[in-house]
Amino acid sequence: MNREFEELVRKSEGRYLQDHEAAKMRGYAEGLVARIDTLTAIERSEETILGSAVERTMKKFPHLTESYGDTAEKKVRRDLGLGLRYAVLAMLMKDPDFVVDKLSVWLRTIMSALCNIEEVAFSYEAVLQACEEHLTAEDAAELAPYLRAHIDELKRGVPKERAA
Amino acid sequence: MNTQLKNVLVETEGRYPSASELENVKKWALAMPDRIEVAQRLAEKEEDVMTNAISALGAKHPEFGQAAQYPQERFHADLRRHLRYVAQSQVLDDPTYFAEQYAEWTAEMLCAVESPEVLTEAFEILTEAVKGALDAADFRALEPFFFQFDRCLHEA
Repeated sequence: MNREFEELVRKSEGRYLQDHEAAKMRGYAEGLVARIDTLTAIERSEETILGSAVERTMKKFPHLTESYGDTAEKKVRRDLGLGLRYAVLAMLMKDPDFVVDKLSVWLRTIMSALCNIEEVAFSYEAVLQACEEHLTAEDAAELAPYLRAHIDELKRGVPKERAA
Repeated sequence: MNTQLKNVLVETEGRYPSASELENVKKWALAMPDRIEVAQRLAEKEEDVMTNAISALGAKHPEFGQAAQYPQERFHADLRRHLRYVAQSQVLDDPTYFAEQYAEWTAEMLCAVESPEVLTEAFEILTEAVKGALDAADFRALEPFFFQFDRCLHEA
């Protein structure tokens, strides 16, 4: 859950909301309604976003098809879709920790063992880019911090000698 | 967001929330300004509510609050706190918050120092004072939390 909202609830426990706290709470509720609209817009564009990101990824790393055969593209799409949906849910809740805690850390561990984590991080950068191309600027900007949090967590799996 | 909606969303992991799930979140958010106003109106009437409830309680149970382990002053503070938790929980529209942060343990604590019957009556008097001070719609918004606390007293 959104930390700011939780903090507001915690601080006002056992008393009435002060005017500025009530205003913040109203603002949170208004933002939530707007984020539902953003979520709906992303859901509508998901196929296009993922298609674009998969295409970019496969073009950049043609060896994926050699390594994983005909299912490569399908698997990349599945994983990118999962990351996108977790990021979208995190955006709805306004909680970047949600995507990191629930998916990114786990995915980083798995993918670091299975393949090149830099390639994985790149593929999510491609999702970010596709969002900028296929969503309105406002919707893309709303989602970006949550996808960025996911990507940053994945990049923590890049070996130090390569990260520099 | 309230606890129930948050749990529903967390359980949608890996998919988009359905239209009805989103509709519930939207309804919760859109009703927030109204819920805040209800709480603000209760805050404005708090002194009247307290005065009326204490007076009614004193008339009915003059002995109440004489025990050293639970003096009147303490009880009045507890009644006031009760109103504030009801107001806050109503703003959040969150019975789980009300139960976990306040109602369950408060009922347990109060029942340790006073009989559940007297407490039930006292909180009913407080509820009636709220009903008398607010309009019907405002009271309806708060009422579920008064009921919830009453159940906690019975279960304590």
